[in-house]
Amino acid sequence: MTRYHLELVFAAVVFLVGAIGVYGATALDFGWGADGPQAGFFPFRVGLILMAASALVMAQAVASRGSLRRIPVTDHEGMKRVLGFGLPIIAMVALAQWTGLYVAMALYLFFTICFRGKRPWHVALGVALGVSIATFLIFEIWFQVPLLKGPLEIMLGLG
Amino acid sequence: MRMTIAALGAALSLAATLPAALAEEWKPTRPVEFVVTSGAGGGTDVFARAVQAAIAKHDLVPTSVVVTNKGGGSGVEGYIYGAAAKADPHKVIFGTNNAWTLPMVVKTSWQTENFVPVAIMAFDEFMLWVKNDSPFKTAADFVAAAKEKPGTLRMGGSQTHDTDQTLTVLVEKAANIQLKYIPYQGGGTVGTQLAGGHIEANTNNPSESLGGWRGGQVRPLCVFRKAPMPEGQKVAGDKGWGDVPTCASQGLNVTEFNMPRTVFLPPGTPPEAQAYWVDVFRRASETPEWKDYVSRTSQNGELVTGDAMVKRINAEEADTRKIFEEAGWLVK
Amino acid sequence: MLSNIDSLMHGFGVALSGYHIMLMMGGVLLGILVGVLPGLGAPNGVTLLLPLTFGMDPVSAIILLTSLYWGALFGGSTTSILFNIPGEPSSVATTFDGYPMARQGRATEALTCAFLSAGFGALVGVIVITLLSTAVANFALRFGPPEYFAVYLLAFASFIAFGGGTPLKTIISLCLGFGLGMVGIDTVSGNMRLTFDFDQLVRGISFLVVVIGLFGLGELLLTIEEGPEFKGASGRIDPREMFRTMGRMPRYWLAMLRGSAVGVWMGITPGGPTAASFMSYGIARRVSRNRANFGKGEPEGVIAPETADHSAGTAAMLPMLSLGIPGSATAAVMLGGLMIWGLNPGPMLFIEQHDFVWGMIASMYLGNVVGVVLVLATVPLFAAMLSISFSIIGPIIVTVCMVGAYTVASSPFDLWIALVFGAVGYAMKKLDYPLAPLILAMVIGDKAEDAFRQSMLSSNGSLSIFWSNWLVGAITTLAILFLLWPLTMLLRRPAQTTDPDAATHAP
Repeated sequence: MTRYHLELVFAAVVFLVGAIGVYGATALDFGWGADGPQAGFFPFRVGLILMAASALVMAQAVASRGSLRRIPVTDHEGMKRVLGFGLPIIAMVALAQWTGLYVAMALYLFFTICFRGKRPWHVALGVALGVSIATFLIFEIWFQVPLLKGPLEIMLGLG
Repeated sequence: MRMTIAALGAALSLAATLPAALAEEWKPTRPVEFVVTSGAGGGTDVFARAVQAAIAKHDLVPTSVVVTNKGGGSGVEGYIYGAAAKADPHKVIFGTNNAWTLPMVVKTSWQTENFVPVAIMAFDEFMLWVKNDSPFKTAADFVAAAKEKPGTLRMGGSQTHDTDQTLTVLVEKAANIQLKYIPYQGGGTVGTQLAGGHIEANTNNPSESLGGWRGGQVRPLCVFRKAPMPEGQKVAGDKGWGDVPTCASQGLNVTEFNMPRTVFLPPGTPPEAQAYWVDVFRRASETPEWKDYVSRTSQNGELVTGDAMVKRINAEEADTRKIFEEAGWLVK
Repeated sequence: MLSNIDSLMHGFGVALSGYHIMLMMGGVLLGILVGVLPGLGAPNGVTLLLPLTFGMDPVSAIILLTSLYWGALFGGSTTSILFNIPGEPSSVATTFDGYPMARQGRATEALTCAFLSAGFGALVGVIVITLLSTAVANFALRFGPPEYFAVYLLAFASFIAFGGGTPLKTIISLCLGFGLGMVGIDTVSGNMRLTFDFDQLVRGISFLVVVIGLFGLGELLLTIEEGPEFKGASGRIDPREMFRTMGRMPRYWLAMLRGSAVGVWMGITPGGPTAASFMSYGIARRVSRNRANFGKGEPEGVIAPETADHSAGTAAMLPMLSLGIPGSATAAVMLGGLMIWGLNPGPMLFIEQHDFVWGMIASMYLGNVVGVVLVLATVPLFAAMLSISFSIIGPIIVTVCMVGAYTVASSPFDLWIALVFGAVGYAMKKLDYPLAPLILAMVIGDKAEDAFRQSMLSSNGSLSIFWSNWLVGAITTLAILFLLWPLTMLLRRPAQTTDPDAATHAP
């Protein structure tokens, strides 16, 4: 992926966000009433500015595509590392939605440290359990801040 | 809006005896979460933490109790969270009349009647406040000034389409005047805005403006109550809460307005769990910690549970809906 | 003023005891802990300790709680510098130069710098409270909606006008921030805005979740891309570096005074510590002699936000006590405590509770000294964390970020939001979009909008209200001059080329 493509993709996303904002604002009164600006006044204009500015960024990118195309965002190795690091996080978040945060983070820590970090399994297990249990003690017990819990905690009578 | 004292007493004793017998059938087995529909430091937060303190002190609940603040979207967040915790009696939702006013003014994914009512623990009073050096000596002065210059006197309140603005509308209707309502984030700010002269009046609760009154920044004109509040300690100089006249006596005919402090359980909670919590809250309301909270915040510590509570909610909901409809606040 | 100094001496008499010093140390240590962990903050610590204080006398109780507050303020800067994760909203600006310093192997220097300037800022804040206690409270009362708006506008103008980045990308970043801040219920109209009937959006998009994603996760992705190990982490931890940094601090006296002045101003007015730290950073980047080095690991870029943050945090205690308005969630919980101890916050507190108020003010002096000493003692410990291999510390930081994102609103959905902003942060950094305008717009955007619309309600839609008295007129005019500043620069130097090759990562 080159800088040129990333510029276009990001600007397109911003354009879309702006359009959604404008759409959302039109559901409200977006004028300037007798008592000043109404609820939709600022969202509407911010959305328009986002659309205009991102369109300009796209135009700029197209204009200088010759030079931008030569700049890689990242090399192949870098991309692999980013994905290798990012995808397990996505997996953890997805898993956390039903197993709860403690189980998901323990599994995530164990697998990333063991397989991606290439550490001995007992180190990975120690870190995974240590961090999860410390988090549980600090948040749940000490500060009484409940974290996301799943079937396991409920089974153990902790949730 | 109110029932007779006798009927109330009957309802109270009924609520007190019946659930006590049933209470044995359900007990919390996990940590209990008190879901507060306001941010940390808000009125509902202080209320929930007072109950938590009373419960902890007297060991009324066998497991631990944690308070979580879910005040986003004027409290909608807390009710959404409560509604999502279907039939889980380990989540107790603390609110005000926002439980039934919110669905009227914003689109919500939950209905009040689905929540299982537990108790109204107290009622917070409202007063009409002005700046200390304001020319208004009585509510009648205020009304006269508003009549002279319609739509210019600024009335501050917390939030839009909430209790303060409702009361403002009632005042406008009763006195046939027009005010300019300015919404702020919370009662504390509204109090200092009045002290700084950025608004002409507000309808703060006694506890919200206690410090300002003692410090000679603001003073109450009248209380929105049928009778003056009970005589207590002197608050500012030789004046106490009991010395504040009723608004009706000063020609501002809003006889009764107060805000219930409510407790609900998630939709679908079984009756035995409801009975358990009614009993816990009844016992909590008898602790010295709770009584201290009520007197400190100058509230009316009347406990309403069971059918009486449902009746009270339905009556209030119907009244409020009428006011909101006339004001054009109902969400389509 | 002289009578205030007498009162302060009396206060020292009340506060200075072995028991109180012990409470301070306990409070500060607990505070550092909650400040360091992104999922916890001073409010959690205060609610934890509050029940313990009911048996204490009020002076001891408030000393314990305020010490915890100082500790949390110190702790918040630690993770900003070490891992680019702001533990508290007000330490976001510390990441701009603190984190680059840490990456260059100067973590010890950055932490020492941050803590010393934080202590200095807090001290200036307390001195202002001591000398001007009642005058400041009365001044705070002069702030109505137009004044609030003018203060926000000034904070904003001084940060943006002095900022880097190409204008177009700055505008996009800014408007994204405004837009994110608008989601949720609108205070003035009571309507839901931009929620699209989606339950998860009703409470709005949380600032902290966005920051955890943009800064914490985004930075981790950048780090991992460049190589499997933390660069610069190899630098040995040298305790002597701490003392060398201390020796260099006097050189930055001007930066410290400037930061404190900005902080005190924003603490007394309703601007608050977060806006203060941004404003201070923005001004420093404009006027400092080392401005070219800002964003690349410049100590002044750490000193400016830290002094402002702490002097604002300290000065903000005053309106809380004398007016009873909580400036923050922590203050709100403390106010609750005051009432439980049988004290009524308000103008009478200074008269009726002389011992309590002055004991507390005296304890602020002592608590900050204790705080700086204790937090400096933790520097080697925290700096040592950098020498742990990234293959272990990296995943741990990820879990800390996730726990932090979850605790903000106990919502599993926020984990997804943090992830999305992690990717957004990565892309924005790669494309040289500045992140700071987004954060600032998110923090003060909706407050500024509320204040603006409240003003318009008062004035029936007339903008003249922003010049209706000398105070608001002066602030508004100053803010507009700041905003026009870059325009005049552009006129003088019309062609500002956008060079995508430039590796300047504007914060």
